[in-house]
Amino acid sequence: MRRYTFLGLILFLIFSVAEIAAQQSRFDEANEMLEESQYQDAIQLYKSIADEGYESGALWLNMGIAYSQLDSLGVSKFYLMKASRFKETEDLAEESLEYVNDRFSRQSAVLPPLPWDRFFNYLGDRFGVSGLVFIALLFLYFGVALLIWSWFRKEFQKLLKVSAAILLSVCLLFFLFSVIVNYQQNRYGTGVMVERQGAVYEQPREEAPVVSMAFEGYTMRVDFKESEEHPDWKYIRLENGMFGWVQDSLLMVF
Amino acid sequence: MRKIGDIVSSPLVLLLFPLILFSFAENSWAQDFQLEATVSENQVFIGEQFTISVEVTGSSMRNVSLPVLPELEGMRVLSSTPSRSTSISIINGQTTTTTTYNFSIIARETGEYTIPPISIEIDGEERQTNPIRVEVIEKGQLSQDGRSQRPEIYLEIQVDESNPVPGQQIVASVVLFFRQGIEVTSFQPTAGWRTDGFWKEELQNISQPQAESIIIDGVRYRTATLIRYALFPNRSGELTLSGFPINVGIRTQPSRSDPFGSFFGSSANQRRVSLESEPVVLNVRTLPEARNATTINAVGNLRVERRLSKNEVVTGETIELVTQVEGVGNIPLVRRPQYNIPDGIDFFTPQENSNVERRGMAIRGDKTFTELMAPRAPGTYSLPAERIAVYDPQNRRYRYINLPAIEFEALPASNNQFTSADLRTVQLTPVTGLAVWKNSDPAGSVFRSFWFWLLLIVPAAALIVAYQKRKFDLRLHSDRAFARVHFADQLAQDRILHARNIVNEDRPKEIYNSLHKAVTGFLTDKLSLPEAGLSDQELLEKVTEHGLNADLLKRLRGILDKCATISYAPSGTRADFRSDIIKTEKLISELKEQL
Repeated sequence: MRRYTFLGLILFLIFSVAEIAAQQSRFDEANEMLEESQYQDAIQLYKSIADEGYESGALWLNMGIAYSQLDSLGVSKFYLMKASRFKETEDLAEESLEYVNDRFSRQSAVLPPLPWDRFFNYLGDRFGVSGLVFIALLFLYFGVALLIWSWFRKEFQKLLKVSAAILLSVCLLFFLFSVIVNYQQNRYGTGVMVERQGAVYEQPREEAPVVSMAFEGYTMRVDFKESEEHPDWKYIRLENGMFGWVQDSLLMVF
Repeated sequence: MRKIGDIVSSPLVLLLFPLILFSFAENSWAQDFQLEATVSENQVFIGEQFTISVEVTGSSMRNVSLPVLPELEGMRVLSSTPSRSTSISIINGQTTTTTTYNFSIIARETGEYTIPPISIEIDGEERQTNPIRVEVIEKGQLSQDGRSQRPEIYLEIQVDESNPVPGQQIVASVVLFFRQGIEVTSFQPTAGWRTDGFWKEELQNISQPQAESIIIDGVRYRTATLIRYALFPNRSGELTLSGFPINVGIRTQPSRSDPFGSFFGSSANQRRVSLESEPVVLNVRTLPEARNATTINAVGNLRVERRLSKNEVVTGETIELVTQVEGVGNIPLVRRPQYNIPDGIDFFTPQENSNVERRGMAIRGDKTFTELMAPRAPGTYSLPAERIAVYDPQNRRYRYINLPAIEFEALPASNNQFTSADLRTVQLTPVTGLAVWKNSDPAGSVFRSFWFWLLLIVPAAALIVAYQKRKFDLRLHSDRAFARVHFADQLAQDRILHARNIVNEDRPKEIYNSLHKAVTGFLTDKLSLPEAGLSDQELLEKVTEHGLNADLLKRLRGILDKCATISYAPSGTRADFRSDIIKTEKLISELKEQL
């Protein structure tokens, strides 16, 4: 039995490594195409990797660069923003984004986000929901341990109880943060305008009054919940603070 | 209007001119007076009241009789005795007396009538006035009770165009109509006039409303335009101007003799009335499609110009593209033209400035759009020519204004602050080599994972267990009976162990004493009985009450009896001691199960 388990483990490892090696091989091939300025072919190959459910910072970064060479700056920005979420490509992606943003002929006014938005965005980016939950559990375990200890150790009872209360309060706070960040991440996404321009409507129909215009490269917050009932439209908030509806085909969202 | 009988125009008088001239010459030294007859209206309605006045002015009259009205065709005299008023004036020492006789008359039949000469005797001589023509006309739309269906005072919104296009200016005038005898002393528009679908500007062209006399549906009214607005529809279709609300201060004026009197005259019986005009519905036509041109929603007689603030700029710095629209038309509604801008130019937030003049009957002014452009790289940039469409509502067609192409030069920045697009391409460095791959399937929520709940349950379970333990410990310390029950078995086992340990020492009395204590201690602890003071018999009775089975009771009694016997007469072998220890141990074990 033990022999079969070991054999199975070995086979699983071999297949996994082989599969990853296949992605890496295609990725290398696409990189060569990119260096030879065969941008369309490189993009096709990159896309085939992504379509199979694999991703990496390098993949998104190179896709962004390929699109920037094709002058599809909106799409390029979209992939570079995705790449910036990976630690290994964060710096390169930020630098590339700066360059791409410079090339947009229309720049949106940017309303500074509200302080609590900034705070929760930081928590989401820095720790993620899992990280916050992990921290909360850590505090929970320490807090519970101290509380139990305080029940059986008379000599430090007060100190232990106070420490437990502090740790459990911090635990609750982190749980609350994780719930809020989780809600935000599930409800909202980031959209990038990939067409040259598009109208932002007051209602999800073309006859509705136009609230504003969005141009290529404009980033916006997409409200998935509001957009659920209108499959061809997205309810968005532009960086200048204006709300409205844009046609789904004009955006790429992650 | 006052009409004076015209003696010269009469043919009879013309024929008798020499005689009259002689007569006047004679009278000029013999009798110094003037005789005149007037009517308050030359044109009156059937049933309308008017006045015939006979005025005698002179300085040396001694005796003037009442004037006698002749028979009047188509009219009825309300009182054959006229009202009389006299005024005396002294100029340069000469006294002049004016006596006026007023007859109230009602017109009864339509037609043109001549009021015959009215006779009056002055200082014994009969004099006659000249004849006066009066026309009696039909009333307007009258209701069955003979009163006009229009109110005495009402408000109307009058528009100069009922089928405009979006953006076309129309003038909406707020016009007040009021009957003769009413004086308007003040007016105050109140909030609530809704002009949905219009851009509205108040025109500043009325300083003091002037009243005019008009006849509406055969009824005499006075009318005054109070306010004028310029309205610009901003969409096509049926648009409605709601009723215009206004508060008007009026006075009821008893005299009707001066229909063109001051608009803000003074009299008695003042009151305020609230009026609201009828809503006005406009059918706004759709603007035709402009062909091959940029539309900026301009309607009217407008000019469009475009210019650059300079012809040269350093890359990275801004240059202004100024578009100016001026003239008569919908200046406030004109949109910024969307030009075709070549690549390589950054655009920044455009600015708009407008000056609107509201005097006169049309909105005029100018609107300036200033767009800031920054070329990213050195070179010559050309803004292509544009064709701007301006709709001319007079001729109902578009007028196209051609804006020529504009070029400007972008010079390289001296300190190389700007990096051209090509140069910066170098900075886009792809990542090659081994990448860190991961599955891109979106992970499910952490809150729905098994591990999350398991890790959450563990501390909760630990808390529950620890709490129960703490509770148990507290009871052991605080509840003596509970502690005795809890430790009864352990204590009994300790005593049996003691007995076993001293078996080889041949101390039967102590061995059986330990066994006795083990049994009785176990029972008293378990049954929460007093630890001392109970005899074996009493203990057995208590145990019996707890339903111990007979066999066990018998064995218990046997053990207790033996222990008591040995205490008084120690005897037996070591084998007997061990056997009794085992028996006692077994007995306690069975008692533990039953109690």
